[in-house]
Amino acid sequence: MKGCRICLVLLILGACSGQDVAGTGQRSLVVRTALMEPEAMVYARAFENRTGIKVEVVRQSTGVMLSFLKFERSNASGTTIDVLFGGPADAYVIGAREGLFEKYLSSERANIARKHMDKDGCWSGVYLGSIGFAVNPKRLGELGLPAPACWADLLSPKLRGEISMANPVSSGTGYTVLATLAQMMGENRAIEYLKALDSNILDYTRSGAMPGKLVGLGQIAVGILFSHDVLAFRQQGYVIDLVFPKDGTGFEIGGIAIVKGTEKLDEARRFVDFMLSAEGQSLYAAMGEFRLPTNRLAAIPVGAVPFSKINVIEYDVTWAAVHKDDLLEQWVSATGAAGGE
Amino acid sequence: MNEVNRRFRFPIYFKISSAIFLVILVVVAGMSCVTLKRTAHEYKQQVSETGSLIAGMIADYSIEPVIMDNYSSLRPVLTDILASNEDVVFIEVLDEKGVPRVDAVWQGSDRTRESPDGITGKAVEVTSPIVAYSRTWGQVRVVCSLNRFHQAVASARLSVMGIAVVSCGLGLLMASLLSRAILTPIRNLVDHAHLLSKGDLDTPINVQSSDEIGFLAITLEGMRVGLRQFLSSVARRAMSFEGDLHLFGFPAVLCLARTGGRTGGLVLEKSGEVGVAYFQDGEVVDAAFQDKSGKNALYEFFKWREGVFKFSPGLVPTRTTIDLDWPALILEGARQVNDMVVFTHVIHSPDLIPLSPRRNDRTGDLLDPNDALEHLLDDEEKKVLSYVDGVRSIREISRLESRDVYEIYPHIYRLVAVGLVQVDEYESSQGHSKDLDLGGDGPARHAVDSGKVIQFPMDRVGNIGR
Repeated sequence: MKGCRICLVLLILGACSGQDVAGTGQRSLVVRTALMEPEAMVYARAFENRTGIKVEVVRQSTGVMLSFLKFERSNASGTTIDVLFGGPADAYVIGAREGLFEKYLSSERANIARKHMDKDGCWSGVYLGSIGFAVNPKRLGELGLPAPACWADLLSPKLRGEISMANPVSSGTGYTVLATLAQMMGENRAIEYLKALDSNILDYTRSGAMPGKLVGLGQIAVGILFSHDVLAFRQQGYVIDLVFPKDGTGFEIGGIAIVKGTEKLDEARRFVDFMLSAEGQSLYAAMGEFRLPTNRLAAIPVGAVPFSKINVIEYDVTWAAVHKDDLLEQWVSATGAAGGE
Repeated sequence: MNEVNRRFRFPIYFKISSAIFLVILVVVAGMSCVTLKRTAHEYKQQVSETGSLIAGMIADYSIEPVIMDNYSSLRPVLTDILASNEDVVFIEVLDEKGVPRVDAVWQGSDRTRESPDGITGKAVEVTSPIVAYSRTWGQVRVVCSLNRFHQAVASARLSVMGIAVVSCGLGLLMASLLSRAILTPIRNLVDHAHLLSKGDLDTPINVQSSDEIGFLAITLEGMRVGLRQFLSSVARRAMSFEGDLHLFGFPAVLCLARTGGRTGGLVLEKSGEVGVAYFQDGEVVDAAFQDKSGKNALYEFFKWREGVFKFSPGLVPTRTTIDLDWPALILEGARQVNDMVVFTHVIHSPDLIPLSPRRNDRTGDLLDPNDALEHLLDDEEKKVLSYVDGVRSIREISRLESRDVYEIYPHIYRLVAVGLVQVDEYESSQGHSKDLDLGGDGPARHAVDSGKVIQFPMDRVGNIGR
């Protein structure tokens, strides 16, 4: 069903942009994304069909993407990446502060709320997503536990080795969880909580969505990840429930930015324009993804949970970015977990 | 065949050194081959372990991409691994169903080569499972090339063979030089030994060597010097010869004294009378007898039938009174003799056949027709000499001359004295089976001392003392 939708979208976009393809020819644009690869490939193919610009997509965790970008910058050998796409915006805030991005004030920003983008145009928000719990009801039934309703429920001793979350060091999802708890509970209590939670954690995954798949496969009972990823797995047929903690949850602004020094600046701008546009963000709904678009004109996917229906805190992306190093240091120190890459 | 074998026979030292060298070469080459084989085995194991390590690392890294279907992140990683390791030629990531999820990555840009299965034997293939959360999610397949290994082995083999060939050449060269170094002085010693065996005691044995061969050469040189000294003493003793004129005859004694270029005085004594003939470097330069001196004194000695003589090197001549050359002096001295007893002392029988040592016995030709002695002869002597053909006896010659045989004796005597004619009983009897019986009449029958053969041709004296 999902495959049919994707094909339909691609056909439509291809029909609309046939002349552009013929006129522009094959051009390659390297996009590194934190989105899951099948999803990112759909956006890339749609963009190719619309513009004729060939896109090469490489999936990496947000933290890894940013580290790689810094590595390339320090080597002064030029960048091999043109666009960063997806992943929590606090990483983009850090990248903007370090001058890793080209400023670009897309005309599509007019339809996006200011709090969902950088005022200088270093990055822009392309989607929104809240943190939730992926729950495997069968696994929980075997454990004799109800679905966790709040963060404190995850500390149950019965859940030892039954929880997974992304590594905050390598994954933007993981850091969003850490920053959310820090903003909710305060830094110290959040670290204490995560230290207590660490005993129940089976593994800190490199990918933010990975815990959802592990829950769906029945490897663990609970995963902490973005709700749209949970819904996507459920859409794929995994028996998985989505639970939002009643005591509040954070969210991400999925960012997009043009890498400074890119040789394909025009193509990169066109890709950013496309993903900020209502047309581009409407693909979320068209292909059955559950990301909330930032463009007010884009269609909201059916089944996506709007922020109005859950207890979402006032998540401060800038605060999260500023305190990232400090928070990560405390977390590593408390849990003894190593970074991803 | 034997000649060929002798010609191409290698010296024993060459054989020994070559054999030693070949043994060393075989041992070293064998050790090299064993080491090479062992190294090759270890290298192969190393490649296999490296491949396993790489496959394991890729498997660890592939856990999340494989589980999450995010294979795009693997391609740059795999490409980097290939770029950083030339031995890895192929990497493939498969999911749990064995379906390749990342396009097989090949080393370099050439993707038209054979499949990984086709390079078995030239490569080591290792697989590593992608295991996480108690489940196998797929596997990584890495093929490591053994091309560099094979190239290294081939190169090492070539090197070993090259070194072996060069070593072989050097070894043979060294063996040749070594054997030559040993054989050359030995051959020199052998040559010197040959010279010694031929009587050459004057060539010094000059073999410079500080080893045992040098010691042998020094010993041989000592032997040569010792022999030379010994023979010199013998020669010195021989130089002081003495004897009885009755046995030798004065012309023979003169020839003997002249031989060897002696310097000294030949003292002759007969019935209390003493005379001296002085020699300077083998030439008679003076003579003294009674009140006579010079050649007159010398000619007196030719007439002596008996007496004794003794050569004394201490009697050094102080003057020169005789300046005739030797043949003329002898001939003239012989002409002074007119005593049949003296003649018969040399010519035992008229039936003897005078021979000409200067004539070829087979052809009858004179060997030296222009001999300087010819002009010293008078007409009669020349005529008698012309009859000497190695066939006619003295008696036959006298008949041809129509003269008495005793008239021929003086001429034959003179020709014998200067060496133009040789009278030899043995030669005569061999050549003509003539009876040595003097037969008939003639003074020879009663004047000859039977069994005493006087020979005084100048070239029959011998070489002692030279």
